[in-house]
Amino acid sequence: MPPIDRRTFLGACTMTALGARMAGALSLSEPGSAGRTNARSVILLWLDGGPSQLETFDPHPGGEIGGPTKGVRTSLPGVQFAAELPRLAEAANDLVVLRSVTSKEGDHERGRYFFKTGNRPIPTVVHPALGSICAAELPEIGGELPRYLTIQSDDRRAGGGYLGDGFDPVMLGDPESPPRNVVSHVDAERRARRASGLEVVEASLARRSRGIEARTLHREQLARARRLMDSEQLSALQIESEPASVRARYGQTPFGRGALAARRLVEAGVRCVEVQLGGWDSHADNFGIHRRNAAILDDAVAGLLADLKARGLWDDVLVVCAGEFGRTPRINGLDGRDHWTNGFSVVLAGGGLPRGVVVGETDPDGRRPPKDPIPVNDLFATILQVMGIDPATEHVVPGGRPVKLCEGRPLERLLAS
Amino acid sequence: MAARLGTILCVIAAAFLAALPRLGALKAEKPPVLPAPTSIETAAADIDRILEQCWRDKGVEPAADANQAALARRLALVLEGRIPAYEELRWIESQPPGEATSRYADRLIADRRHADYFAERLARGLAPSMPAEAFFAYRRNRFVSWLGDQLHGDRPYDELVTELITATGLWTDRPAVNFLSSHDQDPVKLATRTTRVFLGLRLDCAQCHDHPFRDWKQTDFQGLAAFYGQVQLGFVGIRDGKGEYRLDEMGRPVGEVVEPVVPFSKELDPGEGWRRERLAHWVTHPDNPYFARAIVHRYWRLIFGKGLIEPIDDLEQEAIAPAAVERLADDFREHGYNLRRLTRILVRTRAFSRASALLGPVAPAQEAVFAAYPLNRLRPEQLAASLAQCSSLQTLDARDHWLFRLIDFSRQRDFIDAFGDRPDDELESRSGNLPQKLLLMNGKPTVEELRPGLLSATSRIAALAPGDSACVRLAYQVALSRLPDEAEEAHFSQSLAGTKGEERARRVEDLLWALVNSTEFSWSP
Repeated sequence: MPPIDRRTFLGACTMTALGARMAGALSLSEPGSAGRTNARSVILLWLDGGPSQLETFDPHPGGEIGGPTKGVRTSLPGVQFAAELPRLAEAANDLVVLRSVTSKEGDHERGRYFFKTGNRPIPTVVHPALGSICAAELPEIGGELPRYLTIQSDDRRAGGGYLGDGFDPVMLGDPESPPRNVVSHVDAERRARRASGLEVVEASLARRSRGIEARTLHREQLARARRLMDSEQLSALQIESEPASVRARYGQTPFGRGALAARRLVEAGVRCVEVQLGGWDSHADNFGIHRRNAAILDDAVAGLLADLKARGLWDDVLVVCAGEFGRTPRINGLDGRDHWTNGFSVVLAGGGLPRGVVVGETDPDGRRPPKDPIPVNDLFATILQVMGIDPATEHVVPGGRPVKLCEGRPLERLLAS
Repeated sequence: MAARLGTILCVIAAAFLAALPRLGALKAEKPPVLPAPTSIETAAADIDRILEQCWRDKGVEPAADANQAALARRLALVLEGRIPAYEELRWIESQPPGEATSRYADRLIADRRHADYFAERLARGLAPSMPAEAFFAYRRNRFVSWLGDQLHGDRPYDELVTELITATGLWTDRPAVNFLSSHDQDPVKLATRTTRVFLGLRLDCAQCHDHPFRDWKQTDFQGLAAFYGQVQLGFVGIRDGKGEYRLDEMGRPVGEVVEPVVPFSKELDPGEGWRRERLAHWVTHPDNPYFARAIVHRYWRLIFGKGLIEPIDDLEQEAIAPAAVERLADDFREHGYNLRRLTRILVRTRAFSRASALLGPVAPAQEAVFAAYPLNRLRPEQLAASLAQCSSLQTLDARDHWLFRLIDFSRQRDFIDAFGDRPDDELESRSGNLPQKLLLMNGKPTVEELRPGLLSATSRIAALAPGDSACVRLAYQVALSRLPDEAEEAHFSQSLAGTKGEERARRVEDLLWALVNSTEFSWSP
């Protein structure tokens, strides 16, 4: 099948049953600054710990820094991925591969914060994470489902920040087990009695302390919890209802299941889903670690991309695959690689972005800085722009100061329509 | 009526006391030797005067005083991380008016559980990077137990810190070495932690570059790290070797030897002797202005839930009422670095007993300068313990044996999973979203703690309280430490009217469920 560009795709959509199903969601998308149509949802595939660019999307086999990792030809002429990523190599002509991302934060926690919020950590302001920004800035389309969910993440810092706790993510585990605590243990009569009792207690508090609800948001969250318990949309989390063939496509791993659940959730209208695959911090045994992790990554990401395409969601959903930094070209004494912020790889796909693009180039000897460096905050601004959110949007933070969502500049060459 | 109910319940409580050995907690504990109370009151009054001046300067009126029941709840949550037991509320009522609150505070502070709770909170700042696996949980428990012993035994804080910095040996028989080993005995991590926790300074920003707007130079940080540069881990645990400390860049030693040098107040460094002892001497020296200040800020935040500066490990900012910090720091130095005394002063201030937004109208401007008590969300461990307390009319027993702690630990896992508990998130606790609400509504802890059963509070409230109103009042005191208002009492009495046996117990369970899921339960008064 020849590649279909976004407009052709949309034109086709409106005439099909698929188009009818999608229409509600798409009508909420607004044209971005460059005249393109924005993505509706974003899936962040978070590779926690910092994967090695050399063992994933930017191998330099044969040289001093390459280690034992072999390259594999991709569907893009002249572009190689690590041999452990065969399915992604095949899908390369659909991807945007950024090989020259640079961060200023070489510590896990600070690097994670920088990448997920688009801002370096400072003591006075807590910046909101990507998902929280999407939840806050974009209209709600998901019904009872939360707007921002994380799967298998243990990152408690990524949240609403100065936008408020209300935009913190709902954190889920392995979708293999059902979400916790969504079923009441008592019958309908007792549930009703409990609910009316709670109203009486809350009314008493409200009489004594006006304005307390606005500060605690307790009742609002209880109401949300109750709506979620009653919601049929909870079935979005039931990945076992997918055909075995689809499940197999993602790989039978927690990360693969997470990616599948993410697809179901964005389909149901969730704005941002973050799925974590941890364990990349390969200070020792870099190559063993990457071999094991890359196999999981390859299946899950390739499965997700194929599925998004098959379901006509390609341009509606932006996929971001990244960790907080990369790893040193130099191999240390423990056969490991350490933290490296000066040129590492991030992959983007879908969301109306161009296909088959490689940006930047790292030095095969690991000495010179990368060509076409892309600072993390410019990348973050680009992601916001793809979502139709102006990175320069200002919010007044506690303390009364107006702060931009992100100081980075969107990468125009990716956004031109 | 209330008096009669009180008498009856006292009899009931006494009967259970006699029946259950685990209620020994009620027995008067031998109070530790404490300084004369007048001096504590004087110090507290000084702090209040400084704060009042600060309010006058800003044109802020103080909030009303919190009522006695709310104050008891606040004290138990702050000092022991749980709500008061029903029997404690009765005990408070039996005390001479005007002294009840301070007596209750002293009783809590003298309690072993207070030392354990504060040890747990402080340990987060000291030994952060321990994953939640059984081995590490055991190891961490050893450390927290040890820290609890030190706090309960009134170990002077300067001695305590000296031991943490200089400990050698195996973590099994010297739990203090966990401070070093939980940082992988890495000089950079240890220098970072030392300055942040013990001095409230973020020198680590100078790790990669000279501090942009402070005086710290990159070499200051490196010189500090060199004090830990000889620490080694071997068969006999942590010890110091003879090697020199060199910088490393991405794991590779580069450049010349870095000598241990303190970044300021250089005259306080003895200049000779064992490196870690020199560092401890400098850190804890009475003339190092940051040492006492840093712990005062940490304790203020433990007790008020909000710091005089935020974050509290960045003291180079203007604090609210800096004179109050100096007064507390001076008192701390002058009284032998006694942490229990510091705690007693802080809870004895009038500022501590002001109403919070949960109790009445409070303006943000009042809260900002501690003219009202800050509105604090309960931390996950406070919620878990409070929910557990709702299952009993008596104070849950203090169990410091590590096996029981491990059980408690796994019991709290549900909360920690839902609420988030990065071990080092002492500085910033965020919570309050959907999974947490779902956990309190439908989760196993709520089901288990409120389930009717032989000794459960639910069954005993249902069976023993004389009449529907008494039942409702008792449930309110157990869960919310207060009596119901008229509308509440009427609503729930009606719900209980004419019921008995299991049906009544179920209705009490539903009542307790409503109380546990209310705003008041999840926020500190």
